[in-house]
Amino acid sequence: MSEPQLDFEALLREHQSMVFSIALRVTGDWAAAEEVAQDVFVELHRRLDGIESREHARAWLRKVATHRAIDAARRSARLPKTDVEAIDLPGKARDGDALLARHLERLVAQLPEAMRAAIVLRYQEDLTPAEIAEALEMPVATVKSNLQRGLQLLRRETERTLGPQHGRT
Amino acid sequence: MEELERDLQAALRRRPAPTGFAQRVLARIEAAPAPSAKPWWRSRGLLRPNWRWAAAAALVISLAAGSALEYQRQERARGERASQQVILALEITGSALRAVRSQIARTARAQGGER
Repeated sequence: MSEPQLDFEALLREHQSMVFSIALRVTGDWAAAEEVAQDVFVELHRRLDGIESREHARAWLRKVATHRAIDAARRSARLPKTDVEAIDLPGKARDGDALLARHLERLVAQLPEAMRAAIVLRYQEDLTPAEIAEALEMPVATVKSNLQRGLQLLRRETERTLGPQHGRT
Repeated sequence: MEELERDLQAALRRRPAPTGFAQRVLARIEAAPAPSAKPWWRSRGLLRPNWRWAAAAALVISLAAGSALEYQRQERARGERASQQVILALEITGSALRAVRSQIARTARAQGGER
């Protein structure tokens, strides 16, 4: 059942972190991520009449943010900058964990776009492969393959750079 | 779940949006030209899929009914034209028969007088 009227500002406040984080991880560039995230919310504002519920809004934002970010990453035709390095990690993280997290974030930013998007939606947004397939408009089998290959690449690179104890299974 | 996957979850935690992000989005929306007022049929949701199907169905039914009525009208006109032609043909035949009959009568009278 559709809700009578969705509050755009409430949706903006609730989902700005999700949209910005997807854009940041997929583009690998802070400025591009902000631009993509702004575009996504401006687009949502234009299409608000067609959004039926808060759940629909969340799924719509996730999908459009991912696609716009992939497009931006392809347009820029550059290896993603690791602006992510400049971002402070949560203060409670131990040094080793912080180092590993930063390293993983950098490696994810270097994966091919579709694989990167699948990894971000799986581990940042905690989506199932079926939900990722819907968001990326690709077969579930392709998503599973991208996730598997992505994990293999990350494990191999982590072991190579940080030692075998970090490529743990 | 593998340890690497848990590490990934920790590494890929959501980041807060940049400071002032929401204000910048709202300012962009504010600065954008106001969309033109929607016509009444849009504002009442008449372009929703259900309404679109209903309108398409109504259009198809109207066209079919209109075609059937037009076909009937043309058939009726054709029938009327045909019956008028038959009446005309009968009238022509009748007058021709009357002419022949009076010619025969005249000839018979003439022959009777000669005898």
